[in-house]
Amino acid sequence: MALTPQSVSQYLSAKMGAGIEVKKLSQSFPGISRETWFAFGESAQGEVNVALRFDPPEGSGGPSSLRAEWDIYSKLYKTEVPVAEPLWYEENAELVDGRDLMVRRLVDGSSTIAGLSDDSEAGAALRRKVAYECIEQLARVHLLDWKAAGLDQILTPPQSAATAFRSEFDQWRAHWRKGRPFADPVFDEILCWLSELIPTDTPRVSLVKGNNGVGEEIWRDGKIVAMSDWEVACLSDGISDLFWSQGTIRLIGFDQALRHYEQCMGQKVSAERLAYAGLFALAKQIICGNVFWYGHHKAGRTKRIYALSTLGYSLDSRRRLGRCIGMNLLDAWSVISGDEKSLYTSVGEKST
Amino acid sequence: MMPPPKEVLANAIGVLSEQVLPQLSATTWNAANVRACITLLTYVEDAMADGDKAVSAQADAMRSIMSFVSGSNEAWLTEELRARCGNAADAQAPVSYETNVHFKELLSQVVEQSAGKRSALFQDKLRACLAVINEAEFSAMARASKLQPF
Repeated sequence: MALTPQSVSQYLSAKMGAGIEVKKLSQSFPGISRETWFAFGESAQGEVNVALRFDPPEGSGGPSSLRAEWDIYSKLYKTEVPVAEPLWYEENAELVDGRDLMVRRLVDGSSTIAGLSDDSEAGAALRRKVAYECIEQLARVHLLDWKAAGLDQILTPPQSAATAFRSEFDQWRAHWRKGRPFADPVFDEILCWLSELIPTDTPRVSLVKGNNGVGEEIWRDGKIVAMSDWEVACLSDGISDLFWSQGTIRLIGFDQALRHYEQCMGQKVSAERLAYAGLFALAKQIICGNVFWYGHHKAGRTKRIYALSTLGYSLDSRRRLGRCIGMNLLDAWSVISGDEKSLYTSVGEKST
Repeated sequence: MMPPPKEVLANAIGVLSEQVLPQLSATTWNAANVRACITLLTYVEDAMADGDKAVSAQADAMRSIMSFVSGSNEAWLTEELRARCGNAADAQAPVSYETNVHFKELLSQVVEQSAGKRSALFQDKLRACLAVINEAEFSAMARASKLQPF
């Protein structure tokens, strides 16, 4: 059953105890792992604008539950990390056919940025502004005292900073082994090879956002006003986030982006951490594409076309990683660096 | 007479790319659906051109490594896995996508069981086989993998 302004009006009126009429309702774009709908309503007291988030009918498109994501929002709302106000969580909500549903206040802004791909001086200035903003907000997330925020109650913390990457790697390999929709000996070997290269010089355990940047956060005037989509968040080495920014970091030169990140964090990033994070990010994206998207299609739970069409992206990533098998981290990095593709920034609208 | 499938596909991809997609705002689900269709139709086009070659290349490489495994004395190798690899290498089944799926299941077990315990010779042979699979699979999806998937 698709959401309609009428059904959402009735739902919000009942939940908020006031007559609310939804004037406009739209599904966010992009967003494959979970559905997010924006409802713009009015009541006698004024505007009521909320975002409704729930799993697609076939189930979560990522490794975490909606409940876990809700818990992260709830904890982060009390910190300096900008997130939208979480309003309520409802299990088995009738509005969305018995799926769980989380509702948060809508922050004024957009997940896409007009003019980002413009071939002009203004376009270049905007790209620089957006990349810097993304880096600064990621650093804020990475410097957060996650224990004080209570995030260790939701996410599995590694035993120490030195085992941060190892702990995260083991979690992702478990996802692959449990949910792989087909045998892939090349990818199995990639994981075996990567497991032997895991660096241990992570200086601190950070909250890692996971997918971030354009298409994931709420932007207004080139600034992030709310960080959204926490479905791949974990406690690990923050440097990983520079490689899952949907191309946002690559809007400027990567060296420039890295220097700015190091400045924000007050710490240098070793070549080994950088290289490993880049390689590991590709592996994680392959697991997402195969296990959490295509897996639902293979099992007959969905006919959504993205579950199939993203396999090409995964295969391209696997090919690049597969060519590195047997290399040391720095040699492998020289093969894959500078070649990240962007899922979202390339579909940024022209400003005119 | 029906036109050749290649011609049909090329036409469909052309209409979607040149006539439908430009009419849609890029950041909408309708445009995303069309881009995904173009990606998959392009994959079918590539697979029709190179798919058989890709399947054969993989099958040859996997049979070769299975044959090596079945005759080897690798310390990690169980008798059961040795026998299964031998059967796969000797099987007279025609080369097909489905046969390769079965081979890959077996090869995945070989990769996992042997990790960290391989002889240098076996590791070289295994990785050479995996390199063939990696490139052959990609060749049948090369252009599609470069397109925006949604």
